[in-house]
Amino acid sequence: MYPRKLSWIFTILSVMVLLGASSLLFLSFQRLDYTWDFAFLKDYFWEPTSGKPGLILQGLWGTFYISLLSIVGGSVIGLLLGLVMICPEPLARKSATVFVDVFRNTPVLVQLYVMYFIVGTALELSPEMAGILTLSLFCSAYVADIFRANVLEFDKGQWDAARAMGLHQGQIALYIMAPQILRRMLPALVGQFVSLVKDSSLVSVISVNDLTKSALNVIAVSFRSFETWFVIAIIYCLLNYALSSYGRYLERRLRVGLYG
Amino acid sequence: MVKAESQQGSDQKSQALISLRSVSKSYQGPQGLHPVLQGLSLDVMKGERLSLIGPSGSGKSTCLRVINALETISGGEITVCGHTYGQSSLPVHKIRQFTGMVFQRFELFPHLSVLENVALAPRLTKSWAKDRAEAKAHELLERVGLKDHVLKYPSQLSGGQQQRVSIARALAIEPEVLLCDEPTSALDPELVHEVTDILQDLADGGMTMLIVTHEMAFARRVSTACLFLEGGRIVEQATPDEFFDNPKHPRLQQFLRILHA
Repeated sequence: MYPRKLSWIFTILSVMVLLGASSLLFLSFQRLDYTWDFAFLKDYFWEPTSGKPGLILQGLWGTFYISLLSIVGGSVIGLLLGLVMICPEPLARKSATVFVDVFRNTPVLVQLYVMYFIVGTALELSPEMAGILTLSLFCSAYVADIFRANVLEFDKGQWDAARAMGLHQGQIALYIMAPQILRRMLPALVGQFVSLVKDSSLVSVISVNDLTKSALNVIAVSFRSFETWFVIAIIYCLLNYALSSYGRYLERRLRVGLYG
Repeated sequence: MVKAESQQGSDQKSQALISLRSVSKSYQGPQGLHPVLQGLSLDVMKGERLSLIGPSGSGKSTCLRVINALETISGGEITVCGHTYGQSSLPVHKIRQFTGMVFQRFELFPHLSVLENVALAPRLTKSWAKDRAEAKAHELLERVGLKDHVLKYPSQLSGGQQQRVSIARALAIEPEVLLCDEPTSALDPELVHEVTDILQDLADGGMTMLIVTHEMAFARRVSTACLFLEGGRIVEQATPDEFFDNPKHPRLQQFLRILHA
């Protein structure tokens, strides 16, 4: 091992970056010359008159269930799609690849508009349904690609060992490949899910009541956009922090045996 | 039906557990077809221990891998315990269950504990209950001297220990023949004996074995016969003493000279 001679340089650099960032924040607050008042938001978390959850909590619930359903839907469709992408049938494989390319190479916002205004009108989909469907398909394209890459990387020696002991293909897939591949997919999957929760804010444009839509409504009534966006950002951050922490926890727990 | 056929099959081939008849195989290489096995014929009788020896690229490993149908062949016939690939009514994965295989790089399943690695195959291929399979695994792991490591994961073991687990795993399906593909090549020199000792024990217990190895002293000790492969053919087959002390084929003489130099 080499002695870590330069560690103090990194300490100084990090202190400088932290100082720079906080002074930038401080300066912008100063120059805004704005009286901050977060107290009013309390009523939007919990309505004092009716004693029911306020706009923001309702929005949080919206974001929560739309993200959750899209993640579940996206994972299921993505795994099936990934299987098709590695199947030997060329037409099926090609079609799945085109599907993945289309959904990965167009903006989610555009996908949402197409789904809601064209498909949604034709099939009479509710905004929530159109949103969940779009996000699921968008998510599935990434899940499929993560799955495909991990299956192709699967160690041929493991496959040989499983065949040599006389397991048939279904047993190899279920007992040998699936557990190893799912573990290796986990970090990339969690990253994808976090990004999906953030992308779910886009469904507000087709007037689905999610967190972002609630923020817009709160601002429309209170005219206090600074505080509102600030708080909404923190809520998104907490939501995703919880998700990625859980992912890291799973990864640590499942790592036993794979990397030592 | 299957039983009747297997009975008849084993009668025809007398005691040969494995028999290869004019087996050939080629790889599609950069310069066209590259032959690896060229009309290789070989019989492994019950209780025999054959060592396959030869320079790299001579087809030793491929010879083992085709016996397990891990590789396809382009010509010839392979019969394992009376079942010929492509002709038997048994599916390929059932025929593979007559043989156990030990790999150069162990190939233990990293997501399973040592115990689960060994118990998996009997549970799935013989439909044994968990208790029975684990009892068998405990017994085998004790035999390879690893009863204190059953709950560890492969990555927590040394190379020699991993290879011993993989021997136990190969034995768990109670194979008729043990195929060993360079079982000590990936080990640190001081760990080699851990594995060769176990294989020697198995040999003494009457296990039929086909071993690809570069450990000449081990081959000489353990084998009933040594085979020299060159260019996908067997060019010499002799008892170990004859093979090492009095080699006939000039290519084998040269090979042994280089080894001893």
